[in-house]
Amino acid sequence: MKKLHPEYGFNTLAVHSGTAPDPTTGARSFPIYQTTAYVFDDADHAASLFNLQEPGFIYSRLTNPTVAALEEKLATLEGGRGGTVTSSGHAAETLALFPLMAPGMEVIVADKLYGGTINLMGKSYQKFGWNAVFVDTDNPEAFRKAVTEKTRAIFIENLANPGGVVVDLEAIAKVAEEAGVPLIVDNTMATPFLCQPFEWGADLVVHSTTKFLSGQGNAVGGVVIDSGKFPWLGNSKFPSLSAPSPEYNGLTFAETFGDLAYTMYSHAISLRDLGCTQSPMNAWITLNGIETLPLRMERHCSNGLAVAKFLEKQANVEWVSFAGLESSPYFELGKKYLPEGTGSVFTFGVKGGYESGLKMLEAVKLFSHVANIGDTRSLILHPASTTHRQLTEEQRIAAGAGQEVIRLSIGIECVEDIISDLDQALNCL
Amino acid sequence: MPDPASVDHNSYPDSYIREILKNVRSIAMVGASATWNRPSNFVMKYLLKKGFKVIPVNPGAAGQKICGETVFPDLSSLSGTVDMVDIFRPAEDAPELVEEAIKIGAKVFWMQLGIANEEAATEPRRAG
Repeated sequence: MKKLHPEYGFNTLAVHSGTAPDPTTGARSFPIYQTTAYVFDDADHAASLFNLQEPGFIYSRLTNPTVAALEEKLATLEGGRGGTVTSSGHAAETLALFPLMAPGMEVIVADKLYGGTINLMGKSYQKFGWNAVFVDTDNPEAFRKAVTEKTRAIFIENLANPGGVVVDLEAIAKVAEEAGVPLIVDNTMATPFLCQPFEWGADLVVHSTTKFLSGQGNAVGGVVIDSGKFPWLGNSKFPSLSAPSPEYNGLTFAETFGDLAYTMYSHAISLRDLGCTQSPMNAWITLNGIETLPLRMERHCSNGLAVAKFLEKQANVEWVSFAGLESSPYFELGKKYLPEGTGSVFTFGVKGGYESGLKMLEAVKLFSHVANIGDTRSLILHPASTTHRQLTEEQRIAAGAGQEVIRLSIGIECVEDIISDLDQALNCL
Repeated sequence: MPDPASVDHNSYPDSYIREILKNVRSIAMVGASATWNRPSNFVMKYLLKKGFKVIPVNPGAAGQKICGETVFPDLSSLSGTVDMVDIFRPAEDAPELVEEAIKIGAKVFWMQLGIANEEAATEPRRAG
């Protein structure tokens, strides 16, 4: 793992970064600044803030101290330059693309993705005139072949949901670099504790902070983090950042803000106009969650591996898709990109297909049947009838969410209790 | 301060910039603009707020005021010296401005993001 800070390691930064004691009250837990607006010192101060000539707070749709603390913490943990926290992971995906795309432009997208992302990019973005070009996740050459003059970004998911697919980050980053477009990586499933995509050449990272980051299934949220490395200045492909901005009185973001241009644009224009802001309360819950991220991820990973190994040996289990198993085609890539563990979200197929799958859902006791992942609690789901329901059968199979597939998100309970619950449920089939 | 010749001029370490800013109090800003959305205006306003003395230099606006400070036509018309010359001008203007900056005894020459001129960068290093 890359050294993020000259003095402190990852676990220390997870606890401390962005959340120094409150200078006014001395409060040690970071305060929830539950306010809409902020008083200006005088007219000149207000003008300077609106001109972005002075850092400070105007209105909580754009910036808020609690949300800003979360932005700093997440940017630090990913080794990025700046972050923009959003109301959800989906909002983060749209916000990530907003400074880059325009009607008629293309984003190359991996075909193994969370089903919601496939719908958003493949269908809803068509209303903006943004075209998603889906390619085989496992084949970097397919990404290269899909590049055209209209390509403005490449989007992939690290440790893709639901099957725990490990993507060859370094190879795809090289394709993006040669194409002169940013590589956006959804790092929700790995979290920066297991993998930092900037280390492998990614330019932007997005998260659903709803999952392992907040960690307890109680706060929906997202974030876009910029590495600060992409050369926007003078780059005619990205006029939102490189040319005078008609939506901000002719300000040229790349010229004025340098490596903070993307993050400044995301607040001053994307959040201002799209309004997908995170509430201070959710930001506070997520800040608290991240403090224990390293501890939880260690347990999630060890429990996940133990459960996958157990399932692999069961007579009525057809297959298990978990990158931590030697039988997985992603085992080698997993060792390279996720040496600390391959998470705890994975799929398996039961003998007897769809009917057996539904029976299994109804037989579990400790597991919760919910459409979420990355909770302290162990979760179970049948993707084909829920999260991946709106896709075609062909898309479902490509995404690893066919009819017989069951998705698990292994929690941090006693591993023997998790295994015992699955064992009794399998015996009911 | 580290030897400027040994520093990567595309990526300065924080410690190098901190050292410069600690020793600089007065700054002549060549190409200062009264238009709020130009980077020079951002920088001037910010530096004034942080307590630096900033003298705007711009032949097209000589005698006028930018951020409350009187504009000079060129570096040679400044009375006395400054610690730093900060330029918001195209790269090809840099060599001439470097000479003027050395003449008035400035110790630091700062160029805008994305503007580079190797010749201009070497000259002040030679002059110390």
